[in-house]
Amino acid sequence: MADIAQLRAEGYGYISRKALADDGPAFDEDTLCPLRQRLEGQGLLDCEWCAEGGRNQRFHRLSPAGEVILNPRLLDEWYSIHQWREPILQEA
Amino acid sequence: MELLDRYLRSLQFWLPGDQRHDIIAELTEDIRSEVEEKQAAIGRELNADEMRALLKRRGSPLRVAESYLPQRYLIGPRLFPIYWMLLRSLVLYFLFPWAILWLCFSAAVPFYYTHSPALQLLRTVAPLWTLGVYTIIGLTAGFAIVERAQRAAQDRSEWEPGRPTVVRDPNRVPRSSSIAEVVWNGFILLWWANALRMPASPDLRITSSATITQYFYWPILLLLVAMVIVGAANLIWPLWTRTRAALRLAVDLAGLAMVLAMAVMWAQGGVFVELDGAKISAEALAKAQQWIGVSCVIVLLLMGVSFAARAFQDFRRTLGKQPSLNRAVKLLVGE
Repeated sequence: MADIAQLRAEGYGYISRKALADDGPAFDEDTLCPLRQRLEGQGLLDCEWCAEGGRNQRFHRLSPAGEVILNPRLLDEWYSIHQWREPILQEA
Repeated sequence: MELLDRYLRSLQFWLPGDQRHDIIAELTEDIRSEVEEKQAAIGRELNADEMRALLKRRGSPLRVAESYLPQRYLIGPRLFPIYWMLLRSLVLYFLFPWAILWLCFSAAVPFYYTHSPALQLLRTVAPLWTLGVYTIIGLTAGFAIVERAQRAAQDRSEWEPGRPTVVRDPNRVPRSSSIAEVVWNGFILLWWANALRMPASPDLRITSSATITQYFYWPILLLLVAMVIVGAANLIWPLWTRTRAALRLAVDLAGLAMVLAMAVMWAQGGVFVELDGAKISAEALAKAQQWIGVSCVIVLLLMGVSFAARAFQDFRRTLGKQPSLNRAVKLLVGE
């Protein structure tokens, strides 16, 4: 979910993983790449090879279909789960 | 970077063909970026040990490749329990009895190890073994085909939310099984008491052996009568009570003891039946007797396993516990 949200702006594997790890828990190396591969296969990500720092990197970005999935579907679901869970956790 | 190249080449082998190139290119860049960052932090190139540690943390090539591969299975989680149950029944009712029989033949039967070499036994068992293997292959292939067909028709389920689900009380005896028990045991009882004549060949007369008649006639008769009575009681009062479970536990244990006694008799060279036929050669009669003996042992083995399973269930009921819901046990008991 965090990775999909992050890909509203273009990014590539290593930098994206580092950015996510800087702000929260670390991702396994073999989590992000296969995830993006699958999302790309489902048409939710667009990908392009571009030169970055003197070498070719594979950049990903949310496709229009991916944008729709993220907002409103995934975000709505996420917020509704959050709203439902919060009072239960506070009681505990 | 030789280590990295070897790692990537090995990984490449396991990746799906159409995505191999892209994945390897992406992973190469990913690992190189990490290596460069580490080198910048320590101010020198990574040595072989550090490189090895970095790759080790990423995982073996097969494990990394696995995360890119689609999930594949021959038989899915919906059909697997049924497939597994059938496979276990096949092993329990077919392969296991034959393996025991093979061991008995090899170790305990004087007729066998004095008159026929082990090769003859292997010849006897080989077709059944082959049949077992083919059945397992057929069963697996059949389920794999059904799995594929089901996946194709996944969303065309005929399940109706309004339809009630049948929940069976494990202490209720199905009337069908009580009727079957009474009819089957009654039939055997009549045959055993000579009240029912089976069609027989005029050239071949088969009678119980003297040992069977002398030592087992009355115990078998009483056991059959007790089984008919328990079956009839279950037909009239189809819910198990602790008293009735205790009564059947006694019957099960008596049955188990009898099966063991007959197996011991057979292992010591005893015979179940005697054959008499004026027009049949002595050699053919001996062979027929051997085969009848083998068949009787198989039946005894199945009966022994069934009696043991029933005793287990009845013991639990006698203690006031729920019977086991294990499918293999239920199958053996016939519940």
